This record gives sequence, C-alpha cells and structure tokens, in this order.
Amino acid sequence: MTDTSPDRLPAATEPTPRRLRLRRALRHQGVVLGGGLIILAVLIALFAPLLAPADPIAQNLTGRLLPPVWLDGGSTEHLLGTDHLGRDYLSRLIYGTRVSLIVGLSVMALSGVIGTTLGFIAGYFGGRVDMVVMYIITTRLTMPSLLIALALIAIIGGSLTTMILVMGLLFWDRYAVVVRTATAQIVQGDFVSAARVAGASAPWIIWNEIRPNVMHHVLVIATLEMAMAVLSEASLSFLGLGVPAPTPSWGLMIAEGRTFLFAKPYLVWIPGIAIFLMVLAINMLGDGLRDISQPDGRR
Amino acid sequence: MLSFARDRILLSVCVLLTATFVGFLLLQASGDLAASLAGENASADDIAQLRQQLGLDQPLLLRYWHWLIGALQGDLGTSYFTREPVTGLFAERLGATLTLAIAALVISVVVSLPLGVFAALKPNSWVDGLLSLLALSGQAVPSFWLGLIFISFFGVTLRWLPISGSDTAMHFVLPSVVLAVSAIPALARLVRSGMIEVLSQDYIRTARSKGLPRHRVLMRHALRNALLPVISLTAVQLGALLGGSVIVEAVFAIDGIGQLTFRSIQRGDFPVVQAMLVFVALSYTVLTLVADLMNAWIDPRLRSRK
Repeated sequence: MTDTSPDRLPAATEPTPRRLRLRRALRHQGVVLGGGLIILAVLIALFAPLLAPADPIAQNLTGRLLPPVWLDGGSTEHLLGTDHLGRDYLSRLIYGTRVSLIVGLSVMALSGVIGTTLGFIAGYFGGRVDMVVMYIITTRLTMPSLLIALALIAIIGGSLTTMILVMGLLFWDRYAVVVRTATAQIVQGDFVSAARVAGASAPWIIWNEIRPNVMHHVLVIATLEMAMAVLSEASLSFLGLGVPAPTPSWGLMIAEGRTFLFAKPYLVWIPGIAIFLMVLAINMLGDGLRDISQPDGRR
Repeated sequence: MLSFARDRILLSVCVLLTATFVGFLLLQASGDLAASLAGENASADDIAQLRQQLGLDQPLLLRYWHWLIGALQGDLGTSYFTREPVTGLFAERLGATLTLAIAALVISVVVSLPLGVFAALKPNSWVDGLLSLLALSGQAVPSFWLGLIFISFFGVTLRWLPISGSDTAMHFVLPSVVLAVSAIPALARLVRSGMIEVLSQDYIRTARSKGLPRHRVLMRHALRNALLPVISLTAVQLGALLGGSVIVEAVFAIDGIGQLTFRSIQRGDFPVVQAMLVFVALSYTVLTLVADLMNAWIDPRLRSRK
C-alpha cells in the first residue's frame, strides 16, 4: 500500500490515477489480448478497401466455389476460395467486419444512452419515479427480445439501420438495472448532498458528480451488450432477417454456406470463427475491465 | 408472507398485461399487415377486403381488448395462414420444445454445478482456469453455427446421431447440447461466485472446526446456501431457452413452437407470433414469481424489501 498520510502531497513525477489504471490494464492478459483483437478488427474494418483483394459483391460465375489455398486446387488469387456466386471469400470476410462492428458499436451506444438515462433517473430521484422505471424495466425483461427483434424486422424490412434501431431500443435493460443500483448508492454520499446544498441542479449533479462514479460499471455492461449485439446481428442475418444480400455479413455468409455444409464445410467454418473471435475478444475485454475496476482484482 | 405474495402476484399480472399490450402495439403498428399479407400484386380493393376480413380496420385498442378477452378464455385467435386455431397449433408442438428446453436445462445444471463448485474450492487453479475458458467460449459461440458444426461432425462425419427432425429421443441430443452451451456460462459463474462467498462465512468455519467431514460441509452447509441465487437464474434461463429455441429448432428442423413462430414471422402470421410472445412472457413471469416467492419463503428478510 502507498503512504496516504495527509501531509504528503503527490509529487509532479508521481503517476496520476488515470495512468495507474492504464498501467493496471496493460498488465491484464484479458484486456491486452481482447483489446488488441478489437483494435485489429477496427483497423481491418477501416482499411477494408485497401486490404480486400477483390470487390466483396462482384460475382464471377465461372469461378464458383473455388477451394481455399490450403486445399487441392486452391490458388493464392483467392486465399479463402470463392462462394457459390464466385465472390472472393476473404474480401467478404474482411468487409463483414464492418457490418459486425457498426452494429455492435451503434447498438451499444444507443441502448447505453437509453439504459443509463433511465438508471440515473430511477437511482437519483428514487421513490415513485424509481417505481415507474422499475416497472418499465420489468416489463421489458418479460418480453423476449430476440423474438420481438425478429418479428419487427420481418415487418419493417431488414436493413442495417432497422437492425440497429430495433436492437438498440430493446437491449438497454442491463444498463438500466446496474446504473440504477449504483446511482442509488452514490446519491447517499456527502459530496452529492454538498452539491445539492450548493444549489446544483439534478442534471448537473448527475453529470458531474454521479456519472464519473458509475462509468466503470457502464463500461463493463457496454462490452456485454456489444457482444450480444454482434451475436444477434449474426443470428438475425443467418435467419434471413438481418442485413439484406448481397451485403457481406458473417451470419449471412454462414446461411449461404449452409447449403454446402457437407461438401465445403470451410464455407461455414470461416465466418463462424470470425464471429467467435470477435465476441470472445469483446468478452475478454469486458471481464478484464471488471477485474481491474474491482479493488480485489488489482494485483 | 400472504400480503407479500398478493402484492407480488398483482404486480406480475400488471406487468404481463403491459407486456402483451406493448407487444401487440409493436407488431400491429410497425407496418400495414394487410398489405404485406395480400402480397405485392394485390389491388387496393383486395387489401381493403382482407383488412376487413381480419378485423384490422377496427381501432387498435378495441382489437387488443377483443384479443385479451379471447386469450383469457383460452382462445388465441386463428392463424391467418392455415386458418386453424392458434391454441391447437401450439398444443401440437409444445411437447417438442419443452423436451428440448428441459433437456438443455438439465444438461446445463449437471455441467455447471460440479464445475462451479470445484472452481470455487480452488480459485485460480487449473479447474478455475478451465471454467473461465469454457464460460468465455460458451458465451462467444453463436448457437446456430455450433448447431451446423455438430451436424457436420456428429451427424455426417461420425454418423452417431440423427441431425434433423424430432422423431426419437436421439434427435434431441445435439439440439439440447447446443442450447445448453448458451446457458452454462452464466450458471457456472454464478455457482462459482456463490460458493466462494458462502465458503468464507463463519458458519462454514464453525462446521469445519466441529470436525465434520469435508464433503458434508460442502454439500449440506455450503452448496445449499449457494444455490438460492442459482435457482432464480435457472428460472430466468428457462424463459431464455424457450426464446433461443427459435434458432436451434430452425437449424435442426425440429417441429416445435420455435420453428412454428419463425415460420409465422416469415409469412406475417401475426396471431401465432403474438401467442408465442404471450407464452414466453407468461413462462418468464410465472417462473420468476415462483422463484421470488420461494426465496421470500426461505429468507424472511426479503419480504420487507420491494
């Protein structure tokens, strides 16, 4: 433990709390590995046009179902082979990173705004307000989110925007529950009473006094929700109710490759592994963030 | 206890009513059902006629009211597509889905309990590491993909198990394992954290210092107390498994209510979809209610809290 006697002011060279947190994060295997993979995925998504060897939706009907480079008949021209319409599989995989990340991040942000707002309001005001918000949360939990998402997208029509909106409006429950509990605890702190006495408004207190103290919870939930959104996007697209063809989505690629499951299993394996790695990375980062934000996880 | 139970049940009924109404609203208000049912080539007259035929020209609130009155009498309407009563369509297929969900739940409990207990006994040991690894992978694997991989490996390469349909018990092995994989991570982690917490309590130290055998302390004193939150989660998980059955039944071609719902979603058969929403909402509500009441009965302190 560090010396915490009150007369000892931190010297200029001493690390700030922010830097300490960063140092702890960089020592955590999960954070480094998960975060590294996510950064890699973001880079792939950003530079997809430069990385992809071919146009992901350009069909070539004379070069259909070409095997990947490690199988007989494979060539370096199509490293992962081609699909049933002769589209370069590697290029589709690379562009699929974009769909996955865009849905994951947007749903995380949209549901995060809804959920944390509700959680702040319920936790800060308590009493009747809290009861109303709890009622909304319970009602939401009672409704099966995947089923509703499927049904809504079937009615409205599948597109990237529809998917993000529907999932964003459904997946906020965990944020609300966690932020509500944390806020209700923090509101009892002396610094909040002091701000109130000083005449600060509720939004000001929530933003400046409470928000910084619940952000670490929100971050952990955010990773969970992003993982769930990535998985749900894949499932919806697999069921034919997500992004419309020919947009390259990993779930859609599995659905299209399913026809050739027995003859060309790699068409199903490759995008599946991509989804698995993406979700694994997000969850590893989330677990790591939880570890380092808990005092007993700080080793 | 009685007044707690009464309040809790009343709340559940209100929540259930709100949930079905919101579901109804979302399904009915998000598009023109009659237009999408009639198809692209239908004329405006056809659509208007269909709308009238299905009662879609009435105001939304009135339609919900009629639906609710019917539902309370066990009549969930008629399928737009097959013209059969929805209740019958459901009853025929409920068995397959329940078999699947319960088998999956049993598998996940049988795997999670020992794994969680052993991991809790030796935190940071190899068993604990294995649990984290399994939990992380289990959460990351898409169930539809795992289903396809199982089909190609166990069904085609090894030819051990049937891969589609629901004729024999063997048909349920692969789908219930796939479904269980989605439930195991959360359960195992909860058993682990519950056990770690209970094992540090004073009464465990007392039991140990009395000289009780190790397994007795573990089973009778620790596990029993650690199981309380696990029971609640199991109840919630069963609801989630019913929802997840939509994907698994689609992959393994099991003719259960999940498959029925998915097909009905695809062809805009709204009464069937609404019935499934109600079914899942009702199971979730009843299961959490039972879990809450059970916990309140076991632990009186919970009764005063709301």
